[in-house]
Amino acid sequence: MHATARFLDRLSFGIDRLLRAIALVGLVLMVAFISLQVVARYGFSAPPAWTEEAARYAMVWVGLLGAAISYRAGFDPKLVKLPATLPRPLLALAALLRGAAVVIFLGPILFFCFFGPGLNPERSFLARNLYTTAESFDMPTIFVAVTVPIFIIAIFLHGLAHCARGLATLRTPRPERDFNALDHA
Amino acid sequence: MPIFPFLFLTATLLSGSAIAYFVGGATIVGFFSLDQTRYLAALPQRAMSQLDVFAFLAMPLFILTGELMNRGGVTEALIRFSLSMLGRFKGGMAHVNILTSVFFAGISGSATADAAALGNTLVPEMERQGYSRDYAAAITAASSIIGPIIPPSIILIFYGALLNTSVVALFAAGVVPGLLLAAVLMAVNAFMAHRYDHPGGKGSEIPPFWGSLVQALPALSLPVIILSGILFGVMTPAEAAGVASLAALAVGMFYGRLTLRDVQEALSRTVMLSGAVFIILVAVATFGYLTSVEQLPRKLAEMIGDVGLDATGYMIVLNLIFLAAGMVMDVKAAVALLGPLLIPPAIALGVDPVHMGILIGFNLTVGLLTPPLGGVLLILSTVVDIGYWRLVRACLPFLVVELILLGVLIYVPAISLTLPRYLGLIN
Amino acid sequence: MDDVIVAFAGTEDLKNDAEYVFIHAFAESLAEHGVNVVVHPSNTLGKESDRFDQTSQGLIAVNIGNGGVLMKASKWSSTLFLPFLTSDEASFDRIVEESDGLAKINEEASRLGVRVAGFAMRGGTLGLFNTEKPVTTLADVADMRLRAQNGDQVTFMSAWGAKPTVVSWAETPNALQTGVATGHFNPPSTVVAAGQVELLNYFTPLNAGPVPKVIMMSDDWYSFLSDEERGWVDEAVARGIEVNRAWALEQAPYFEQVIVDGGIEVTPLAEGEREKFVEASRAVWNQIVPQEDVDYITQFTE
Ligand code: NA
Ligand code: NA
Repeated sequence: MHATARFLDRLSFGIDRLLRAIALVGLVLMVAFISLQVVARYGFSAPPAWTEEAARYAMVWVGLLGAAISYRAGFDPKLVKLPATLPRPLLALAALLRGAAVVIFLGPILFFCFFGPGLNPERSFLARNLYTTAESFDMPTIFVAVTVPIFIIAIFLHGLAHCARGLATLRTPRPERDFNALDHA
Repeated sequence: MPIFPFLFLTATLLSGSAIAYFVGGATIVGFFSLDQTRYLAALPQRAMSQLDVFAFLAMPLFILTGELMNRGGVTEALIRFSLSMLGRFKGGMAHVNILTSVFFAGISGSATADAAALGNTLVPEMERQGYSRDYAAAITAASSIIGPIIPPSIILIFYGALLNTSVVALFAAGVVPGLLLAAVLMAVNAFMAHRYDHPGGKGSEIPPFWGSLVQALPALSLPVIILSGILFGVMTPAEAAGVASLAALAVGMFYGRLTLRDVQEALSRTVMLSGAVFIILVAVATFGYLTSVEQLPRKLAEMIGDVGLDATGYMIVLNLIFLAAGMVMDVKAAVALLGPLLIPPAIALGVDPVHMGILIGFNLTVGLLTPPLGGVLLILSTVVDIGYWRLVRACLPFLVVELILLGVLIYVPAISLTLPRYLGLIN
Repeated sequence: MDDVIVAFAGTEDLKNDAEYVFIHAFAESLAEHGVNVVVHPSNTLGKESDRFDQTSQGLIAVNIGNGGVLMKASKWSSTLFLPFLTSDEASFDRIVEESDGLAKINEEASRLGVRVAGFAMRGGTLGLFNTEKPVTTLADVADMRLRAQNGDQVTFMSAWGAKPTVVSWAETPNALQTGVATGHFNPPSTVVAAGQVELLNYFTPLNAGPVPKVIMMSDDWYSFLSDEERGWVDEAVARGIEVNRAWALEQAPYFEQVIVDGGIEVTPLAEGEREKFVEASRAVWNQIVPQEDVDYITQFTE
């Protein structure tokens, strides 16, 4: 149990680091594309047509990977914050329900990334995006679509690692920041 | 609704689930209960395309601008400049607090960022001068919500993108209500200062005006770039946000405060904040799809017609719903979840969508000051180290004033609509 | 036969919305056989790419989409949308009828489970709107900052000597008001539908082609129909297109009147200038689609 938990913990940590690095690059690219658009409009005679679409795709990457990063950090806004003084079984039940919400929400989305009508993988979301191309440059949209399963798998792994950590009591779960949830408006 | 899903959802809500996962999970349960599971296959595409929206581009970039600004020494320069102008009046530091928030508002779209920054710097300074901690924290809270009303504003970007309304027109419409809010707060503060004999006036240390102006110029150039760039059409909001983030970087380097580590942290936090917003959007895409498949918006509009509410009546109902939502929910989640469902009927009844956007924005930001949640209250009670309910009580007079102002904005659309009309952004 | 799910971007407005004119006639024709049509207007089932995707999966039976989304799935379809390929609806219909264009498109789109059943016309033909000056010659367009929809428009607008800039349709009104762009390439019907009449000052009819909206059907849905039902659907599509064409012909002068009443001055091209636009545009067709497709389609234009 401990070994599994430790392995999952390190995997979750490593994935988080990787996703952060990719998302940072995505964000920098967003700034670069958008700024290029301004420079090009007032500088060159024919501004490139692809900057806006490229910036949007970078945003999809940033946004979805960011969702996985935010999930792991416990950063998402919540309606109710349970006091840590509740009896342990109740807290465990709450954690179970929270996990169920994540799986129920993202499970079907992940499933239909890989399967299409009639459970046919060749007509799945990912496969469909092999055949559609971006509007202003020659790139299959699969390079954008692939973020959807990536962020969901990452969230599932983070959740699993969190559970394993709780069960193995490898260490006490990370204390969540008190007011983080409302740091959004 | 069958009893089991209902119990399950209530329990999940109480379990401390994040709003995004709760809404998303509940919607999937809805697809099953309503026997619409075949539509689940469209969800990956909906998730991707909900984020792939031109108007959203500005949001992460304005978040980044605010993050860079907060780390770059801009706050101090702005406080000093405000002090040089308003420090000599009675209750001067509280005026400074409000004015700094106005400058802040022109750069950043976030009330909580404003509250955190000024709570850290200005509140201790005000206490040193002899203000009560309650009053210092309350004025910081009350004026922080100028941030999302004066453009740029993340809430208004959200509204514009989700309801297909021009973000530029919304930004223009936010300027006057934001300044009006500042003026009203200053008036209340002036009254309080005389009534309770607050410090300020003769004998305080006032920095020289020109010196602090020069020092603040780089910081002040940010709102000028952003506002004039957007309102006079040099740049789209997204472009202004991109340029502003580069400008914030340059200004931070000018003040010599921004380290590489700061930049990396700013980027990292922007990613996380954006992620938290975008997962809400994914949940909302799911929820919105179920309501569309069930043709709920149409049924709702018919229902409103049957009840016979007119525009004003519906507006009041709508504002009450959003006020209630703002009390318990994240602002952007409230806009995203309720907006596309409840606002189109209002627009069909003849309410101007831009005016509506300002009302919803104002309304929900006031929710940041109301219990039981209130994002600004939570941040400040932590940053300033003051009891939550004590802060709630201290904010009460300002809250009442802001609610009265909301009523005025509802009844006088000209306050928000005159500037965008003058700029030719709406008819 | 089950309810037929139809989705489109516009509103249920029989007077002004070309797509709904088609849908309404399509639904009435099916109703004669007791088939119910459920209409989802105003992008309620999602924007262009979403509706295309749902059609691809059989969740939407019939979707009216724009050319752009079709081009993402069928590169060949760009050929039918080349500027100045045709001058009006009748010549466009003739090219579709005589060439194998639709078959080529459907061969590519069928990989995604979508078939193009035909086109619904917006009414009127493409021309140049601007805020700046009366345009009557190709030289007048020189250095004008035109709003381009995509890279293809950038290509041919550059060939005219203009300075195109890509702006999304949602931001176009602001771009016009603030001078980021001073004009765009559209038919009067689109300007009326978008409520841009007050923003624009001049319109130059270029007769650069009609504005076809794409009627797409789900392969899954269509192939599961019985032969009889398929006959009903084909008949309903034909009926819808017929009503749409009649509407488009009748409505084109109405839209032109609306823009004139709204204060837009119509400035026709000077003698011989349309040929210059045609020539400049044709010169870059092969930058938009492969030369072989240009060669293929031009057989049918003369
Ligand atoms: Na702001
Ligand atoms: Na303040």
